Amino acid sequence: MGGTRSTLNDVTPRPDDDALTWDGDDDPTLDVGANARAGDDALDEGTDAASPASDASRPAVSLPAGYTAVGKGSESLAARPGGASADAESAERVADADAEGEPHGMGNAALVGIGIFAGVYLLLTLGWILGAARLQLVAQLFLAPVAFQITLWLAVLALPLWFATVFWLTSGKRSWLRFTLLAAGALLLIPWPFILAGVFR
Amino acid sequence: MSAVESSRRLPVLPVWLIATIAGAFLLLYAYVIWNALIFLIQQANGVEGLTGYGWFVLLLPVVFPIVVFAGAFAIGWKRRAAQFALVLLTGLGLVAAFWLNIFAYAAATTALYGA
Repeated sequence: MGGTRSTLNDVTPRPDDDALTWDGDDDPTLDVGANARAGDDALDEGTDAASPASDASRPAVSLPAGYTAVGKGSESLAARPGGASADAESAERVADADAEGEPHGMGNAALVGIGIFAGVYLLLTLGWILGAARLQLVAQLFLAPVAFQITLWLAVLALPLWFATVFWLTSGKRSWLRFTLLAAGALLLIPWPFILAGVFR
Repeated sequence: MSAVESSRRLPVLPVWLIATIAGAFLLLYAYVIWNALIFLIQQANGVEGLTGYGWFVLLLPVVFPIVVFAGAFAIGWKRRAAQFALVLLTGLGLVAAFWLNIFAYAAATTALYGA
């Protein structure tokens, strides 16, 4: 299963992988459960100490029959007997960890996704502040000033509140649920006053 | 894992606390409803009056808080008190944002008036 997936790029650590790693990536506190465990044996066999994180973050791979690994980092592959079975085993372990669905920290992709959503939410909140402030002129003709002020600030706070609520209520749940709810919040809370002000004036 | 799940299924709060939190927020939701209703009546009695579409659009912020409150209650009432309150507060923010959306639309378009 894993054998069909692996390519030469997977098995030979290339020097440009170094460009994608940072100092401190091998900090043990950054371990994210399953992946770290899967990479452990690769580390024990004396892989290049400068970029262990890039090895750890990659599922254990094996060469298809008839291929020989050469170059930097290849000894960890050559030393593994019966690579296919070991690979299947570690894949199983990863699958097990996923199936349990336990909160084992966030992966890099999840962190980047959260960061993107945080930025989008920040921009939309800015849109609410600008849009709602522009409404103030019209609103004082029709609404009680206090009511409008309260409504305005609640609307401005709606996006941060949504973000916090989704984050808290989905902690420990599947990450697709968190991202779906965050996307739903961004769609529900589009700052229409800001957009309409741009269209009609 | 199973312990966490089963504890989430059962209400963890006493009834009086659920009623107090929900009641306090219900007053705020009701405030938004009354504001929307006043605005609707104001516009309906205005010089130009409302079209059928105008009635529909301006009735939305009257109905919307009820729906959001029901949804937030359903999501939150079996959770801890702070989470319940946060869900209701988020719903209130959603209601306020919707009300401003409707208000901005009512201010920007002429389609609602002149029946």
